[in-house]
Amino acid sequence: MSRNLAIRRWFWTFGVILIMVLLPFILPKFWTRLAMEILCFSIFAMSYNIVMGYGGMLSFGHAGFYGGASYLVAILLTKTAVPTVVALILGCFFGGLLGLVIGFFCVQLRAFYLAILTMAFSQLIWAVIFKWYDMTGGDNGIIGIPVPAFISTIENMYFFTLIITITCFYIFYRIIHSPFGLTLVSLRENTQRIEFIGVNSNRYRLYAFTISTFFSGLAGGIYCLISRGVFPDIASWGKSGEVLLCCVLGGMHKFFGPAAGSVLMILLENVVGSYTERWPIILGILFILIVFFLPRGILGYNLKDITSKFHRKEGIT
Amino acid sequence: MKTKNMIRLIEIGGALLLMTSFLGVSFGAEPIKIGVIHGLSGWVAAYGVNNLKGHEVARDHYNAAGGILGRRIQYIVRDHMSKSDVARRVAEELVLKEKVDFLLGVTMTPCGLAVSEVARQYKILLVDSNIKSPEATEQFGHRYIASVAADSVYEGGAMALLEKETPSKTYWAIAMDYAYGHNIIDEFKKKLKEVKPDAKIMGESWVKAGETELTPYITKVLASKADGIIGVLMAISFQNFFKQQAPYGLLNKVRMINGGVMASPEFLYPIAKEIPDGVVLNTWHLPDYPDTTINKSFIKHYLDTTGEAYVPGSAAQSYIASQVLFEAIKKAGTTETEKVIDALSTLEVDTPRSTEKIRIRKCDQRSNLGELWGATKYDRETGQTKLVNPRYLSADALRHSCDEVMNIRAQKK
Amino acid sequence: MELSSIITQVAAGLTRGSIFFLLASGLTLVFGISKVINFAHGSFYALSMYITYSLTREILLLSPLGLWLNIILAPILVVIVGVLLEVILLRRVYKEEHLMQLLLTFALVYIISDSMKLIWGVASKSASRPDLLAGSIMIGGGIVPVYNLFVIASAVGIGLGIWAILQKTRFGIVARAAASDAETTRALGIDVSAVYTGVFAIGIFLAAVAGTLNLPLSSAALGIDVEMTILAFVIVIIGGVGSVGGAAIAALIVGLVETFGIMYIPRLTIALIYIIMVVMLIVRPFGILGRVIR
Repeated sequence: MSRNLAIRRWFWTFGVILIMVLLPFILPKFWTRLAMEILCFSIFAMSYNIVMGYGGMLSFGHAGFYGGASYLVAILLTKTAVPTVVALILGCFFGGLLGLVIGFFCVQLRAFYLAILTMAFSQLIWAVIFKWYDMTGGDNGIIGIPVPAFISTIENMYFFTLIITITCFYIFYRIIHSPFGLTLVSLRENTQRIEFIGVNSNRYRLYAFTISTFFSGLAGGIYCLISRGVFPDIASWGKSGEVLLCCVLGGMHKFFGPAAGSVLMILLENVVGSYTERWPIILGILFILIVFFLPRGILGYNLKDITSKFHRKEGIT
Repeated sequence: MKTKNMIRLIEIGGALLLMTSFLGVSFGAEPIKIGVIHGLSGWVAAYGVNNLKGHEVARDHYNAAGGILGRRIQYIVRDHMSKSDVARRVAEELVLKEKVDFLLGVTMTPCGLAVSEVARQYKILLVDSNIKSPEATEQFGHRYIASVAADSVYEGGAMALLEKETPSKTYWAIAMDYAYGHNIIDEFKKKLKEVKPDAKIMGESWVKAGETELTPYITKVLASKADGIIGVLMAISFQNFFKQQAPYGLLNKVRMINGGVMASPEFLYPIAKEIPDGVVLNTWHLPDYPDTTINKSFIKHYLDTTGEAYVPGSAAQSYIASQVLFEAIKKAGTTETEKVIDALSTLEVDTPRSTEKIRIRKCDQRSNLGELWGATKYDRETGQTKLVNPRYLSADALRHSCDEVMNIRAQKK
Repeated sequence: MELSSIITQVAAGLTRGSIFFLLASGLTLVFGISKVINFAHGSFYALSMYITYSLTREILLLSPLGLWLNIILAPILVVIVGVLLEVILLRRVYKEEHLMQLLLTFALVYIISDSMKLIWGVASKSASRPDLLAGSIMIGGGIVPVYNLFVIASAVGIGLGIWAILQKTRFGIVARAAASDAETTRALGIDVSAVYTGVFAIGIFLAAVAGTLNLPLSSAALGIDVEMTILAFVIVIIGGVGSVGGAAIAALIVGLVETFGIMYIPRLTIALIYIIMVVMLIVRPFGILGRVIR
């Protein structure tokens, strides 16, 4: 990577971080609150993308891990005396464990079947959450989750989330650019070839799956601290669809794609939803536009890609 | 790539700044801003849409008379899409961004609980019309939520009380498989032991939300030879149950009472021919009972304002909730939340539903408002099914006493 | 449980299974031949229910002929909508990855669903069984509604019809050829796009007929589109992608499991069907009668 490029990337990264840090001081509380949600969801989306964009596995059930861990943390905080940070850590491991068990069956399948199987498992998790009334409150959900003093104000919670988000993004970056990450991408591109050189493709997939669900679990735990409440919908296939859309919208083959997608999706949800009742139609039209005009997501295109349309005559086809 | 990103960043930043500038533009200090949260899409939409209408009619009524304290009432409406996390999000948006003074709502108990939490966190009063879970005002109750809905303790108890006078001895329960359904059946069982100790419940069937296929339940009840059905069927399950039982003639052999406040024209009309006579149902409002001036003028006003043919039950309920809030503000003489909350427990408001006045009791801030119960009868002339021999059962006799509420709260800690 | 109750339950389960078969066979044909994932399959089912309601209650008179006409007319209207969508939108993503097809059809679900809400409102819509079929008969002491028998008979008839089309007509042979090897079929001069459109039309027709037949048994309401889509996919997976016979067997299994499950283990029924599918995917991913997928 050229030195120039590296400097510019660092510049941009620090710039964005600076803006994020100054956010609560510039904007009213509501936007800080919204930004928190965006950060949390982007951790979920980025972790999901390890499996989807980099691993090439179309998982349609990641909400099961996100929601399952969220419920675990909620139950621990409301029914036991476990300290908050410990509960969050347990949530991560719970997410990872679920991912290990479920992933074991799923990574053996390809494409469409993988999607359906992951969806089925997440529906089972949802069903358990919904039915186990004594533990999870059923459709009433769990409300009034106690939050420790150091993150009880909006500003403090925001910075807490921001620090965790930045840390996670850094970890993701290292994973993707490690030998493991490169192997994963190669697996996605050409499974047979990689297997020929002795790599056990299913095992690599399973590792990726578990790492992904570990961090999805973290996102879930943070979510229940932010919202102070959790409801069964969080593990529904609708939520799985949402995170999938964020990745595609932002660009699933770009590192920050899922994060960008999360920002856009949540902003849209909040803004469009307030002004019109016809949001499903608008959302549907948006997807169609993406499928036909922006399949690589909003970060997936360079200025060159777009201007090249005007330079069609150049070069030999 | 960098240029593109920079452009995008500037765009997003610009949009954010633009949005902030709008926040500076206030609608003026004059109107009283009230956030209204209901389910306008998703599976409770049938209720939510009518809830909203009830609120709007109340607002128009009061605004036409000069508003409250000389100020206009302004609603900011949000749809929670039958999802609790959306409910929480829009509640926070209304409180933090739109800076509403009060909240009205909320179709569907889980969404109501979510909004209630927001109300408590930011100390904004929510006056609710629909939350039937006793937990909302007992274990999870607090100063910032008041409700005019009769809870499921009342509903289950009322059903048992009504069954006291009937000949049925062996019951089968068919209820929606969520907290509301379970609560009602539990309360029914408790009260049944008191009023009809020799009757028993032979079995229970639980119907998942939105279930369209009721035939297996129907055949199961037939096979059990029970002589009475305790139902808590709602929405599409309610309608399909009556449709699907017709060829089996279930309700020719077996009596039925159904909770869930389903006897409103929008639910009965589509199945007018399929629902047999004699099914006992409850509702929030009836056009010809009680035959009071208040009821008549309420109906006239509603129909004139909306141009519709009838008053949906949930609209009547929301109208009453709005009324309670407005009267409390009037009585307090200010829009300061704490003073309005204090005024709530001193209120006495007339209602179109009964001759007793609405009172909000202090311990849990739930009203004494009960519901109307009656039996179905098909009217050949109009082709509609209505409730006949209606009775109003007040909430006071059938819900938890204040002492019991205090006990429940103490146990929770 | 007595025999009479069992008979009643089985009849109910078979009826349910018949509706599922019609719905799922449409999906398996489209998925098996055109290899495209249509997440909006259930939306056409729902659309047909609403249109049938309008034709029955609001537009056409309730003359005896009117109701029968609906069984043909409503699905035809739905097929027209479906074909238009296929030609304008879906065709362009046949060559793309499944993800894009999923997204596009997902978008269609949102649009069709909100349009239905816009046109028909939020209250559920109901229609009665035709008077001719409103009664019930006794079989072995158990009550069996006549309409149930009508639905089962229709499903069997239509199922045989599909088999006949696939095996005996030129269109069927061409369609099956395109399913095995689209490139070669195209090279032989056959307009494969037109074949795909034809298959899509049949698939939507089947889903629409399922909706029309089910309206008197149930009601048209918000949310049934997605519910039925998911069930259809589950049945297609269990039966094997591309196999109509497999769809039939799987549909019967799911119909009976649902009916008896609700009777005996209602709390688990919701999960039971998913568990069956999970087991199937782990043990025999290509389904009961499917072929091994590359």
